[in-house]
Amino acid sequence: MAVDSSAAVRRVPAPLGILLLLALLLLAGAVSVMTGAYPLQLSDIVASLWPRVEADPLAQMVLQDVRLPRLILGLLAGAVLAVSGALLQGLFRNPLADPGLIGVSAGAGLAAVAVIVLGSTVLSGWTAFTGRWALPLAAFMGGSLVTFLAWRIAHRQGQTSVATLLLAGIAINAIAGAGTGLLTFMADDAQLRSLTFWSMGSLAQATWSDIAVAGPWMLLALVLAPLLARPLDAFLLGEPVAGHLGYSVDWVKRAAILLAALGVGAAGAVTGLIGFVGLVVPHVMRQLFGAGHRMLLPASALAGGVLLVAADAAARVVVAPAELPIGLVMALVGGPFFLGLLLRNRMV
Amino acid sequence: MMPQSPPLPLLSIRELGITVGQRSLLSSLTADLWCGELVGLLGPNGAGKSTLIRCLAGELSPTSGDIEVQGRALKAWPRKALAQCRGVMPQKAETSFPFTAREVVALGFGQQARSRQATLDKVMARLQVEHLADRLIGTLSGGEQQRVQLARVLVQVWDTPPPRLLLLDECTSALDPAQQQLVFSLLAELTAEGYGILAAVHDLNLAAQYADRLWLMAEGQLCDHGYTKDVLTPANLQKIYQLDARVMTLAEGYPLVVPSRQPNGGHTVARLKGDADPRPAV
Repeated sequence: MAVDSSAAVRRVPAPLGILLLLALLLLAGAVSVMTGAYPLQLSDIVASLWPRVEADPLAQMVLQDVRLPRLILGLLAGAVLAVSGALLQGLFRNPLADPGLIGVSAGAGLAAVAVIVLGSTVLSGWTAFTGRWALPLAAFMGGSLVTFLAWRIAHRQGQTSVATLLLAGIAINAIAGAGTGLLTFMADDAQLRSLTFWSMGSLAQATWSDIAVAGPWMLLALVLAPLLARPLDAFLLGEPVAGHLGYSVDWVKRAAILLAALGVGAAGAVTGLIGFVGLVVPHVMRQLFGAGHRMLLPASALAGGVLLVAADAAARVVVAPAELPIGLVMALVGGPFFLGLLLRNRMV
Repeated sequence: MMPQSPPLPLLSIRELGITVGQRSLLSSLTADLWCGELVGLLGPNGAGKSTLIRCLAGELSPTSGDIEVQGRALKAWPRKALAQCRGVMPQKAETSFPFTAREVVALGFGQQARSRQATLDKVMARLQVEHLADRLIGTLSGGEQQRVQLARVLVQVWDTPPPRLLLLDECTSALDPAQQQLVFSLLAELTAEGYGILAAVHDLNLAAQYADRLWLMAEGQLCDHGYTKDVLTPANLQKIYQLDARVMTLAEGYPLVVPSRQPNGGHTVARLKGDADPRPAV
C-alpha cells in the first residue's frame, strides 16, 4: 500500500468488515457448492435443502454427500489454519511465522503418516488405544512437539530470533520430510494413495465422518483462541511488557502453542498439508483492520474460510473434470505472496 | 502490624543479589523508595541499573535478598493487582506490527475491565503525542515512540488511588532537551500526586534538576545514596564514572555538573593537528 507515512492510518471499521467477510463467505460457499464435475443450479440447492420441495435425487446426493461436507471442512480448515497462523505470529512477534514454514505442519504430517503406515503394526497399540481419534491426536501431538521445539531453538533470553526460527523450520521440514519419505518407502499401495493425498493436501475426499472426527477439535481451537486476544496484543510489545501488564507470560505461551498445534493438527489430519493460509490471511487482515487480535482473530477465521473454499472451487474448475490438489493451489498463491512480503520488507 | 508503626516504604530492597553463572550482576543492594519522591538511578553502562529495574519489575528472579512493594513481598502480589499500581518502562519495547499510537497507549489498560477514553486522551495530551494518535507506531520517530510508550505506562496506573510506583529505564534517552524537560517536569508533578518513581538516567544534569534523591550504582552495587545535592559530588562522580567534573549550585537551587575535558581528548586533538590534511572539519 502506498500510504504517506505521516498520514493517519485508514482502517476498515470492524462491523462493516465482518459484514463484508460474511457476504464473501456466503458467495464463496454458494459458488463452491455449485461448481464441479456435476454442476448444480441454485434451484437444485434450494430444492435439496427445502424439505417440502421435490428434488432431483442425483443433485440431492451430490450436494449432501459430496459438496456440503467438502464446503464445511474447507470452512473449518481454512478458519483454523488462518487463526493458528495469527496465534503463532503473535507469539513469535513476527508476521512471517507460518505453521508450514516453521515445520508445525510437517511435524503433524509425519505423525499422521506414521499412523497411516504403521497403524496396524508398530503403532497398533496407539490405534487400539485412541480408536477413531488416532490420526488427529497423533497429528496434534506431532504439531505441538514441533512448535515447542521451534520455540526452544529460536527463543533465548526473552528474544525470538526469526532467522533461527526459519532456519530451524528448514531443518525440521527436512527431517520430517525424510521420515515421511522413509514411511512412503515402506507403505503398500493403499497406504501410498493416502500418503500422496496427504502430502499435497485436498478436500476432495471430505466426508461427514472426517468432520465428526476432526471438526470438534477445530471448533475448540476456534472458540478458545479469542481468549488470548488481549494478552497477545501485549505480547506484540515484547514478553516483558506483557508481564508488566499483569499477564502470565508462560501461560499465554503454552496456550497459544497448544491451540495452534491443535488447529493445525486436526485440520491436517483430514485435509493433508495445506500451506500459506496461516501466512497470507492474517497479513491481509492486519492491513485492513490493524494488529489488534480482538478483530484479527475473527476476521482471519472468516477470511481463511473464504480463501480455502474459493481455492477449492478453483481447484475443481481449472483442469475439470480432473482436480488439482488444493495444497498445490495454495502454494501457487502463497509462494509468490511470501516472496513479495520479503521484498517489501527489504525495501522499507 | 502495630498501629503506631511508621509508614512503610513504597518499595523496599534488602540485600538484593543476583548471580548468573559465575558472574554477580547485583550484590547486597539495600535501599528504600518512598511514595512522593523521584529517585534518580545513576551509574555507568553495565553498572546494573537495568538489571536492578528488571528485578524490581519481576522479570528477573534475584538469587538472594528481598523485594517488597507496599510492605508485601513482590512474589506474593497477585499479577493483576500489581499491574494496577506499578508501571514499568523497559529500555526498549518496539513492535513491527501495524498498531496506531493510540492502540499502543490503550494496551496500558491491560486486563482492567474497560479502557477509559478520557484518561487516554489526557495522558497523550500531557506527553504531547495526541496529534500522533492515529499514526502507525512504526512511522514515528524514536523520540515520539518513546513518549507513546511512556504514555502507555502512565495510563496503566493513572486512575489507581495512591500510592503508585513507576520503574523507568532511560525513559528520555531518545528525547530532545525540551522533551526531556517536559517528561521530567511531569514526573516531578506526579510525585506530588502519590507516585514514587525510580528513573534510571544517563543525563546527570537532568537527574540533578529533578531527582529528590539519587542512587549511585557501580559494578552491581549501590555505592552511595541520599539527597541529590549531598550525593552529586565530584568525588562520587570520579568514583563511579571516573569522570572529572565540577559541581556548582545554581541560583535555582539545584546542582549543575560540568565535566572537564578529558586528558585522552587532548591526545586526539594533538593527533589531528599533526594530520597533514588541511580540509576544515565538517
